[in-house]
Amino acid sequence: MQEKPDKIRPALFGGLTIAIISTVPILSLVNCFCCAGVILGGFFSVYFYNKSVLELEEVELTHSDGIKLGLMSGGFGAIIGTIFSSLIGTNIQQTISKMMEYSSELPPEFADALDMLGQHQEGFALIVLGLMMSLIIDCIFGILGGILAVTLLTKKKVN
Amino acid sequence: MKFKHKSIFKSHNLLYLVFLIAVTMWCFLIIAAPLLAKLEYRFASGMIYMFFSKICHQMPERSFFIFGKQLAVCSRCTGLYFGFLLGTIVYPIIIKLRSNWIPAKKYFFLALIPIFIDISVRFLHIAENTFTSRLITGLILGATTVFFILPGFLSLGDNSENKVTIQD
Repeated sequence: MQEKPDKIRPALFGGLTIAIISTVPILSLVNCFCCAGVILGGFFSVYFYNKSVLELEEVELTHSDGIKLGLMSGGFGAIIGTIFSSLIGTNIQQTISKMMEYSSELPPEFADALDMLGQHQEGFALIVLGLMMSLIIDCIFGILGGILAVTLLTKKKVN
Repeated sequence: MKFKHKSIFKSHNLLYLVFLIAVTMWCFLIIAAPLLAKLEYRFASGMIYMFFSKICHQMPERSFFIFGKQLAVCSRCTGLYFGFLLGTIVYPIIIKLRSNWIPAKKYFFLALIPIFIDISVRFLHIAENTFTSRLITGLILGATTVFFILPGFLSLGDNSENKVTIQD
């Protein structure tokens, strides 16, 4: 039985897709549609993994591969995205102050929480908080993208 | 003495239950935000709003309000997530959990059409979409997507390495 191809590289590619879509200002609007960017990242990781799988005769794409790839790409995406946003200056703290400044339409509870966080937390803690939220969201939607990709990319029987 | 190792996840029913609880929790959080705000738990409510702000624009004019407060996501996202919950609840009534049957792929793309049209008409300034159109198109896509995702998740419970049959 042949060994399955390495999952790290396709997952990293998927993660990079998620990070770019989540960080680049206009592109990030895609995520407003139920995290479509993150789902796309999970989808891409399976797509590229599937390319390596097709080269091997005895190996087949499974849904557990899709789940693992989606989870990994979501994790990578959250970490790389947080690094990117810290580097290009769109970290959560700046997002918070921007939101406070420009949006009078925020739910007041949201604004309160932002205010409290701004008063009591250091910048690093806010980045960690943003990372935690991104990890949860990106992993969930990455898995959904991974499963969906396996379903849509395989023919008739999936093993 | 022989021990039979059986993973707790090797059961379709249990996997389905885990999935259902996760989806229900997600939908509950959407309602919990305004509920907690109403009960004056402003910080907890704000954290939920903040969490969902990563995946939704949360524009008040496009969101449903309960208890005088807006839901944590907009009307379209509400439709998608509650449609997903509805699909998850209905799934075992329509399809046996062990069958791992997936509908033809064309149905997934068909479910995308209404939401695509609804977004396009507004984007192209042909017409303004409404709360109802956003909710219904979201519900359609959300409920349909379950049938393409849940079998894959449930296939983890198969002993014979995740066999899934996809209808042509």
